[in-house]
Amino acid sequence: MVQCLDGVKHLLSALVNCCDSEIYKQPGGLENPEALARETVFSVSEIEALYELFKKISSAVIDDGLINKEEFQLALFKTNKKESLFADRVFDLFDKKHNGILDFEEFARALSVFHPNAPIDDKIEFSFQLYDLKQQGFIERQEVKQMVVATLAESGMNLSDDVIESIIDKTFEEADTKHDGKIDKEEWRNLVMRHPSLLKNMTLQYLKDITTTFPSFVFHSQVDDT
Amino acid sequence: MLDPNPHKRITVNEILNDPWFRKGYREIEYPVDNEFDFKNSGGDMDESSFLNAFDIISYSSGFDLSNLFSNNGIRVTCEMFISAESPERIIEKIEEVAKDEGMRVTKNEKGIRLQGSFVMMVEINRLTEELVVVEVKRRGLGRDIWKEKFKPQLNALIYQSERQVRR
Repeated sequence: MVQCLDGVKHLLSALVNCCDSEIYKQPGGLENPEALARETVFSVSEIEALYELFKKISSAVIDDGLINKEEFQLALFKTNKKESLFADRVFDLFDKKHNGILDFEEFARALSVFHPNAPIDDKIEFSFQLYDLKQQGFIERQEVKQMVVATLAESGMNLSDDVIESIIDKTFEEADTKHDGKIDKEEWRNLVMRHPSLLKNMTLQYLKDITTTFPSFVFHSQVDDT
Repeated sequence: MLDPNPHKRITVNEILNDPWFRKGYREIEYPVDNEFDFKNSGGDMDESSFLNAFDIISYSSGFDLSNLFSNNGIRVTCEMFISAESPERIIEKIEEVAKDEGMRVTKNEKGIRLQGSFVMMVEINRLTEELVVVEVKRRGLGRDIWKEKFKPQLNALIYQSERQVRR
C-alpha cells in the first residue's frame, strides 16, 4: 500500500518537474537556486521567494524574464514617469554585466547586500560606489552637491544655496580627514562607523521575511522540505 | 484544545506559551511596523548630531528600495519638509489635529506617532541651528487624511527659502 502511494508520488513529481522545466527555460530562469544561495546571504527558499518577486517585476512591461530600466522604475515608484538620479545609480550598480537589463542573478546578488545579515563591509562598499557618481574611486564635493540638490528637488524641499554649501562644508570637515577635497573609501568607512544611520537604506528588513511575503514560491520549489 | 467547554478550553495565550507549540516556532514580525517605531536617539542637540549632506541624500526615494516589496498596494508613503519652527511646536500642532481626528498619539522629543484609520509617523531632525527636517511616513488605505487635514494646518510652518539654488 505504501509502495503504491510512493509510486504515485514519483509519477506526480515527474509530471510536475516536466511542466516546471518549461518555466525555467526562460532567460534568467531559476536554474540553480542552490548555487545562488551558496554565493549570497540568502537561503534556497529565500532565493525561490525572491524569484517570485523578480518574476512580478520583470513581467510588468515586457514579459521576458528580465528587468529593464522602465520596469525597475515602475517597481520603485509605481510610475515609469519618474526620472531619478538615484534609481539610475542603483540600477547601474545592480547591472554588473552593463547590458542595460537585470537578470535574476544580478538581481539576487545585488539584493543580497541589503539583507540584514549581509556583512557591513559589503554595505559600506555598495553605498560608496552608489555615491561615487563618476566612479573615480572617490566622492567629490561636486558629486555630493549634485545629489543633495537632486534630493531636495525631488522631495519639494527648498534650501538656499548658502545653506546647502554650509551643510556640505560641515560634512566634508568631518569626513575629509586627509583634507584633499574628496572622500575616499577609508574616509567613507570612518564616517559611516560614526554615523551608522547613513547606512539605513542599505538594509531592507523585508528581505528577512521574504518567504512569508511571497509564499507562492512553494508551488515552484525544487527543494525538498527539510 | 478540543474541549467544547470554553471555560475549560486552553486559551490562545496558553497555547502560544506551551513548549510543544514553541518548538520550532518563529514569530513573524511584519517588518513594515519597524518603520513606525521611534528610533533611539542620543537626544543631544550639538552640531555633530545635525543632519549631514549624506543624511539628506539618503532621504531620497530613489535610494529606498523597500517599495520593491510593497505587495498588496499598501505602501508606505514618505514626505518631507523643512521648517524653521522648533520640533516642540511642530509636534504640538500635529497633536492638535490628531486629537481632532480622534487618533491615538504617542510621542517623544523627536517625533510623534499617530494611529487611527491609518498609521503615521513623524520624525524631526535638526539640519542647522535654524532649520529642522520633518519626515512624515504614513501607511493606510483610503482617504489621505494627511493631505486633507494635517497639511493645510502645517503649511504656515514650512520654510520657504528666499533664493533659488545655483546649480
